[in-house]
Amino acid sequence: MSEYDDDRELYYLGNEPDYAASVLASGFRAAPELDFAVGDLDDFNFEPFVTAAPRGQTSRTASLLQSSGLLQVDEFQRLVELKRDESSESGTYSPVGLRSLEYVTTPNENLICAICTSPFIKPVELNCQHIFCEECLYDHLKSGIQSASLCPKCRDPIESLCPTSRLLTQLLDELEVVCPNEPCGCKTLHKRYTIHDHVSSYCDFENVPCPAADCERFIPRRLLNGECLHSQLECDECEDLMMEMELEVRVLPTISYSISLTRQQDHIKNKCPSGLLCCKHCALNLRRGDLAEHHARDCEKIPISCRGRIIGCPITGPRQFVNEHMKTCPIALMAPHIQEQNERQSKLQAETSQIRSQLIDLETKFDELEASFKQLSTSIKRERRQSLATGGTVSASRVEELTGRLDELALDHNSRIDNATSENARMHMNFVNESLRNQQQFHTFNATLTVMRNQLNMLSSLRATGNNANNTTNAANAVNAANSGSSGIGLDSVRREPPKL
Amino acid sequence: MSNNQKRIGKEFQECTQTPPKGCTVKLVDESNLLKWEIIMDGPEGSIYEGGHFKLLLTLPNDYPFKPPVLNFQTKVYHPNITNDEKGSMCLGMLRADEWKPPNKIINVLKMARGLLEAPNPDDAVETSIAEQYKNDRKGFEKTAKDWTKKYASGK
Repeated sequence: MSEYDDDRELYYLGNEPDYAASVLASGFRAAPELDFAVGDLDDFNFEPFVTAAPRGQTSRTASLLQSSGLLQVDEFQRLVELKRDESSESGTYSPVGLRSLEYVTTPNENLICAICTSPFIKPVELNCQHIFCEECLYDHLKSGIQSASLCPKCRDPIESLCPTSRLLTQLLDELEVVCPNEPCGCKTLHKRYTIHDHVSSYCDFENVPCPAADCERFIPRRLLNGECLHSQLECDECEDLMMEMELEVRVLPTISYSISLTRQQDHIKNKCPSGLLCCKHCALNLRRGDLAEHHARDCEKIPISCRGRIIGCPITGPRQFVNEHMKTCPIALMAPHIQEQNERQSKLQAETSQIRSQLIDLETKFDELEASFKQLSTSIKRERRQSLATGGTVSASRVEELTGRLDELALDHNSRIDNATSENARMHMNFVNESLRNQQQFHTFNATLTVMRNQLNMLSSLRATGNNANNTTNAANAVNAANSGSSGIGLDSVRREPPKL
Repeated sequence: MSNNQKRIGKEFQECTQTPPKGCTVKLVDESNLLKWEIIMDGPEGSIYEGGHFKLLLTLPNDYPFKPPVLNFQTKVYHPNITNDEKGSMCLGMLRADEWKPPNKIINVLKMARGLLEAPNPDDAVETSIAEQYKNDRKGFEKTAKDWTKKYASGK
């Protein structure tokens, strides 16, 4: 840093030996010395309005500043406000706002104010050597933010302000700008420091106060000729009211300094709707306002084409001739229908294309839906599979177990049924055998009974026919010998019967 | 303070003609230079990749002396962006005491995108997200990606 300071000192001592000394000697400069009139905007080498901190004397200045605190900044604010008041009071007519200028080329970055991002306008330098436009710095100081008393760039406390070097102001002066009246037609380029002179004294497109004492309007400089052009004129033909000035501008868009009666003649000839014109086809004299209608409908000579041209009738010629032709031309007769069809078709086509675009929209939406549906269904499947996988291991083993049990039970059941059937068969056989045996026994008894009955019959017949006791006794003995069972009966009957014998 | 109109106009022109990477800038309302709508794409390779975030930049009347305000209108899971309907972004340079008038909006946008790329959990507004960012990076990234997909994938 010290080296840098030394360089600066050398520079200033070498080039402007009296600069530092004079500023030092002058100390604070008072406000009355400042000239902030708007008309002096071209005074870019503006005088220091706050004590310059002379470079090379930084330490001395610093001590001076410390004693005076922020007074200088306050002073600056006061001065800027003073300047604002002046400009607002005197500013009925201020030609150039430097802030709104358009630059021909993008200026070097070092010439740009960090606050307004435009090339510096009235640059001032802070004690930290950062440079801003005077007005931007004023806005910063007045912004009321916490850091308003600090440098917007490096946040060093603002202690003093000083003008910037001549080099910077000269570089700024050299910047080329477009004339602010460019939208009105001035195509000139100027160095920034001359733009004020150009606009305030020379630019033909600048609006300047009307020279007439009682007129408060403005007029482009190029029309100035010492008389008021704001009086209303009435066109003899069309009764249109217009200002003389407008007449000039409308009729002669190029620059003209001569204002004479011809203006009115020009109006009549070129603009006035009541001016008479000659139809170039039929040589009929017409008012300008009626000409278009005449051409569209009446003029017999104007060349037109057959109505059938849209489908190929090549006939063209004066209206009279073509009208005659169209009475017989079949194409012309068909033309309206075909035109109608064409219109309808194009309308339909438009509708179709609209529908097609809608369809495409819908298709894309459908595709999206389908995709999301697929995604959903796969996720659902996956979830289902997962849930099966966790619950299924248990149930599968259970199912096996249960099936095994079931098989066992079925086997058991079958064997039981087999057992029962075989038992049943055996019992049945037993039963059949028993009954057979019983039957045989029954048959033998039956036979025995028959034998005995025969013997009984024989014996009773013997008793009826013979009285021989011996025989009877023999017979009885025979019976006893034959059958003790029946002999019992026979004996009973014998014992009961003997008294009768 | 009409001086700032020209600066704002210039900055807007700069942001539309040479926009910062992944950003498109337009005015919310053509007649109001103070409200900008920004569509910021999530930086490639970051967890916000593929997202299109809508931001609202509001310039104060006394810009550039006071900082602009940046709001994420798209929900975003980020330790330095509030998780509410405002979506205020906590960017160091945007704090009132940090802001300097020479700062430009284009740099604000670049910084904002840089913060998407690399969150700064030590200067967080959402402390819970910052904690997660520090301690459970995977969980943080998953949520952030989910949110990006859910809220910021539309155009």
